[in-house]
Amino acid sequence: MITVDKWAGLITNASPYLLPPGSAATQVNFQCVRPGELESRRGLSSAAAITTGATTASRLIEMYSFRGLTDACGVVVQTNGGQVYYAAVTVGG
Amino acid sequence: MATLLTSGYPTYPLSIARGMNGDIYGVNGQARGFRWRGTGTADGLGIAAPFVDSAGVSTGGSLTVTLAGGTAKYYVRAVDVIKAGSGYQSAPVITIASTGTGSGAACTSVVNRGRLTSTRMLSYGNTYEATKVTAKATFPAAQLPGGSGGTLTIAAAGYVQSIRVTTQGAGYTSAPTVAFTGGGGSGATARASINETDGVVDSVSIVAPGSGYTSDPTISFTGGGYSTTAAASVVMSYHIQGVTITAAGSNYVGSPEVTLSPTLYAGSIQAITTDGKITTATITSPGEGYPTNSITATVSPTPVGTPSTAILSPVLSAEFIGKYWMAIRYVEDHGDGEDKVIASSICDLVSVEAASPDAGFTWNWTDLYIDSRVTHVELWRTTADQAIVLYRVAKLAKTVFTYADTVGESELINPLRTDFRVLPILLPNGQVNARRFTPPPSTVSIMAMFQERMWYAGDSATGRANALMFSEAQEPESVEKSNVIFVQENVRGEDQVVGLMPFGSGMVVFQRRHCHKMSFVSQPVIDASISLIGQRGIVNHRCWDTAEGVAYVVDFSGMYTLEGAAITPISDVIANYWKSLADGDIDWAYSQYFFVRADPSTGVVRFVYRPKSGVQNQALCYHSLTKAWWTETYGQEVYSGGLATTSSGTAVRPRLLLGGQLGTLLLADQGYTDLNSAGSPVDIACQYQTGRLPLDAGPSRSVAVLYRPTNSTANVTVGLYFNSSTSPRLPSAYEDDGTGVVFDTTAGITVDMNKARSPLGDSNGYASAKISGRMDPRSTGTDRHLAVALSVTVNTADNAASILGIAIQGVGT
Repeated sequence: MITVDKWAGLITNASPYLLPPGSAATQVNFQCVRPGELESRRGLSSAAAITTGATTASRLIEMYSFRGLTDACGVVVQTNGGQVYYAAVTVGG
Repeated sequence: MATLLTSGYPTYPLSIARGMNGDIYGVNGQARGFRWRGTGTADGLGIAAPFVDSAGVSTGGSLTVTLAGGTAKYYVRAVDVIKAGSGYQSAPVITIASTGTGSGAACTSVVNRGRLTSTRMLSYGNTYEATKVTAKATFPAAQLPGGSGGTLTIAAAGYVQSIRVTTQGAGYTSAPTVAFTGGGGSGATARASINETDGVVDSVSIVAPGSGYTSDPTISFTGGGYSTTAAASVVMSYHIQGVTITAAGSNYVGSPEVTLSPTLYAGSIQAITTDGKITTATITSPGEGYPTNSITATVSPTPVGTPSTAILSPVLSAEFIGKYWMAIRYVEDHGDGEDKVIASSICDLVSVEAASPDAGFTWNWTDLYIDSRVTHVELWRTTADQAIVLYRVAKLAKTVFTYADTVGESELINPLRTDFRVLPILLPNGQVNARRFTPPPSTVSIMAMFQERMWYAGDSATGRANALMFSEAQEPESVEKSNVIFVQENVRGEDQVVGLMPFGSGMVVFQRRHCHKMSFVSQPVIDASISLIGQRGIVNHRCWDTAEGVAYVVDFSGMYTLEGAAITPISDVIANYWKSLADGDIDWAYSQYFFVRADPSTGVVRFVYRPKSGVQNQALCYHSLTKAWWTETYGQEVYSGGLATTSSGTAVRPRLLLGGQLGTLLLADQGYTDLNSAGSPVDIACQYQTGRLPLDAGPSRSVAVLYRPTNSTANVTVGLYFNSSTSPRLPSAYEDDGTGVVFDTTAGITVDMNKARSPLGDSNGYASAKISGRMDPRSTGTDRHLAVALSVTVNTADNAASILGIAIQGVGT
């Protein structure tokens, strides 16, 4: 009998027949951020939508965040179409 | 709602940095970079010099400067003293007058013993005409006849010189005692003598004269058996103890005579004047033997001879004579401070020679292309016969193309002039100065701010792959052409700079297969030091991040950490993702979009990449504390990451932002669902599978899950994978013992973590199920390995999974 309570995370660069207890051959969306616990990750929610008028931007291929012009966080983002936008983003703690 | 700043940067992720002035800059090697001031829209990076574009190619414009001609103009260089005059009790006003054009010249004079000995220019004036300028020194009307009103007060002190008996008294049988009272001093004593026959005081002699008496003391007699008392008076000797200025008076010159009364006692006082007033009075002799303490001083007027006026002669210098060099440059000045002004380099110098004095210059210029950032044009000129230092003549609106220059030599160098600025063409050490404002080339794709300078690299121009360019200090857009150092070309194959990372006291310069540390003290061209850290590189300029002083970097071999100069590989356990041709999962054809982001609030470092079959919604995740790896799959593609640092004015912990595929900035670790490619919430599917564990020959087999109970139904499916099968096998036997395990003939073993499902309630749940499996080491047809998989789908806080352990009976290690 083996007991797994120390989550060592993925080991894929070895034969699955040789993995020590606690290591994983597959670990998707399960996080090991606290010793002894395997937790489902939290989600991704919308912080801001990059739109100008009725136009919605597409892929945001780069961003640069900084202390914003107002209270919010300022973000400069680049779309794959080549546009560069500024947006103020307010997030909770 | 967002603000569109600029466009024209498709496909290749920008490298973005913020300068010390708060402006934001970006380059991606595809076009001229941009600069955004935090308001309005962004502009092109840097301002090209007049008559050339940002690439240095001529735009066809030019500058011409000609002599204005007409009446030559002069300034007053000096006022010579031809005759010193006499009788000046203070410096007279010098009046410089012109009967023609010109104004502004002024000077002061220096008077010594009543004579005007020299002058000193205060301002040179301008536009004077030759032979039409005079200078004269005027006597102040109030300075005659030599001073009055000064008074001094004398303080005296003395001692008892002798005693005179004024009444001899009667009936004295013995000598009385003598006493002194009053007068402010002390120490005087005396002895009386009597005539015993007549019974009178005969005389009084001084035993000690005392000192410090500022007035006469009183003398008295006691004792001696008298019938009528005797009386006496003192004779004092005073001297001058102090002198104070009671009134300073006016119009005195030098040291006026001070007369003392009474005379004959050798006292003397010296009075010294400044600007006609008595400012100092000193005792040059205290005197001796003054019979009274009432000493008076009288200040006499200074004896003055017959005044005569000095004769002065102005010395003129031509404003425009000799050889001059001129240039113009463009500036962007929005009136928000000198430190916000961005300049171009100067154009090529133009020279003009005035063989004889002239009236000025006429400037004309044309330019077929003026950058939209330009707000003004500046005119710069040297003084005569030097080509070292330029002085700004004028600053004009960019729509002006001609200028009548009458700024003479003296005004040109006058620091009080509104437009005055100095611009050495070269610095004393030979460095380029007036032409240092060269924009960075549009072929650079990487930038980073380090030690007051903006650093540029990733130049796609021929032969520049390892060029490391840097701006002038605190001028991020000024990248003079000689501001470049080269990272060593590596042997056995070309490498190229693809990333810059400011890191502690140095900046790490990443090539694809190497990394170097660059540091400098003050001037990189002179004292920069580049040393190889190791033979690990980086995928692109976004594949690094730092957390708690450690840099996490991904190259084509894996992820490694960089602490100081120590490289530590950390992804060996999942190295097959990078190195295996067979089961490597990374599609390098899209590597330009890969990035690394460390989330300081959770300690998770994510390497976001695109798998060989799929889209860019995968991340390899590493935790800095547990040292564990896992993968994450997101509901939509993500291409960039950043940190949000504020919230409604209240500082909060940094939060990870990801750039999604629908123009949406996604906040990580928020909620329990993802947004999918259609923008709708989607559940998060979590999977875990152990390695293939060897079955033992024991008779009992079971699998148990230790979990944290949830508030609602949260089913964890337990999959059993025997041997090398990729399909789970349903257990042939099960047992629902009420701890949360249910058996479904389709799904297999399921553990409902709902706290209401188990009698254990809020306590940690422990659900166990018996499982099947055959093991006989003597047979080839039996089961030999078992892998246990857990899977759960999460979409609310109430079914978020937290697994604390798995116990598998019937397997060994």
